[in-house]
Amino acid sequence: MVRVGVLAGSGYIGGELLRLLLQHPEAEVAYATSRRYAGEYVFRVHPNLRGVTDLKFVSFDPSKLVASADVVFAALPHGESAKVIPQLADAGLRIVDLSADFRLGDSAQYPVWYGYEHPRPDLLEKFVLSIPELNREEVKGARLVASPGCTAITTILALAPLLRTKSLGVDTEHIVVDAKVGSSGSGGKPSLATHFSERFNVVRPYKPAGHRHAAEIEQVLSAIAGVRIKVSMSAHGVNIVRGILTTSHLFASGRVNTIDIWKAYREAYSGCRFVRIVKDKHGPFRLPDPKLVIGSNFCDVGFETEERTGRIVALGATDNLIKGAAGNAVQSMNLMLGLDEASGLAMASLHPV
Amino acid sequence: MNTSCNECGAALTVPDDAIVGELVSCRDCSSEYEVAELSNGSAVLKPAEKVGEDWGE
Repeated sequence: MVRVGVLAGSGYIGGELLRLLLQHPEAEVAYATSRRYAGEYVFRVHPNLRGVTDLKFVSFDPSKLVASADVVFAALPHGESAKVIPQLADAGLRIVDLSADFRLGDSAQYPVWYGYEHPRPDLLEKFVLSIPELNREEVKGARLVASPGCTAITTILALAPLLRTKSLGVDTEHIVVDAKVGSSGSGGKPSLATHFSERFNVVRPYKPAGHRHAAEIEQVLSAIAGVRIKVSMSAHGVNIVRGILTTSHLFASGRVNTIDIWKAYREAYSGCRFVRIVKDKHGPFRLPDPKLVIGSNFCDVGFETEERTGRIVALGATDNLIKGAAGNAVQSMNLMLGLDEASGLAMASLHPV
Repeated sequence: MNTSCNECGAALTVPDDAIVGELVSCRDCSSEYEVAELSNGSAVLKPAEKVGEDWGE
């Protein structure tokens, strides 16, 4: 059994990490930290885990925690991970970080997108930004892994096949991403914006321009395409708790051929257990819909074409807390340790939700 | 009998004991085809007729 620790286990992502890891056949949760809830039962903060665990939260004390886990999952806020992770990395632990602090390869991008100077730029090149469907072999050999943002991974998986297939002739300078995000995407800390009366029934354009995840999307897709990609992204909060739908608009220079696009997706995701290509001619769910991935580690991808304008519409749907966060992190750990990639993650999504 | 889907390019298998008029559905995109002709171990398919979701409105 692999001993795992969860830093900042009291948030929504921490809760999902604990839920997945407590049920993982090859993992044993050694500890979960929480500054606010130290000493409290985990199930009082995550009531879905009542009867699943009697674990209590502990405070973060690296001298005690370093020896008690082999792998550490960090669900700390952006900026906090960068302060804590270096000492754990220096101690030789395997780390899966879910903050943005080790996602970007270029330290000069942190002041631009996150407003702070990175305290350990030397560590950035040691972290692998893990999207197993795109860089599985790299993740297998890694000790330090960063898991992408929920909107980023959903967008990237929907777009990667189109950008790596040069023959499609996609305009790499003008890619527009429209994201619709459930309320859990803003975390478990309440605010006026998340108060029920203010959040319920919204279609809220909370970040029409300048979304931080554009940096990760451009970094990954530029590497795949071999040219500098520019992504224009808008994000909306919508009336669901879990789930993300990203609708991306690309423009091709020539005629768009549906079968060529099908081929690009099939080639990209053949053998990938957590990416499903959804483009069906029947039923109410003909294209990716977050409703059909809730509770699972799936990312559904699909597309439509518009010949008149040369537009390709690429869609991606995930459960933002699973494939968009905790599930991708556990999948990454499985690869890092040489376990079955789907271990602890083979659940189907819920229906109906 | 093997052929491919005109819509998505997926491999499409027509059962060896298929008869004319039988419907074949694509596993990937669910396009439906009707077996129009059978000769010498191969099948000619045509798109199956169906009523659109808007009932032709």
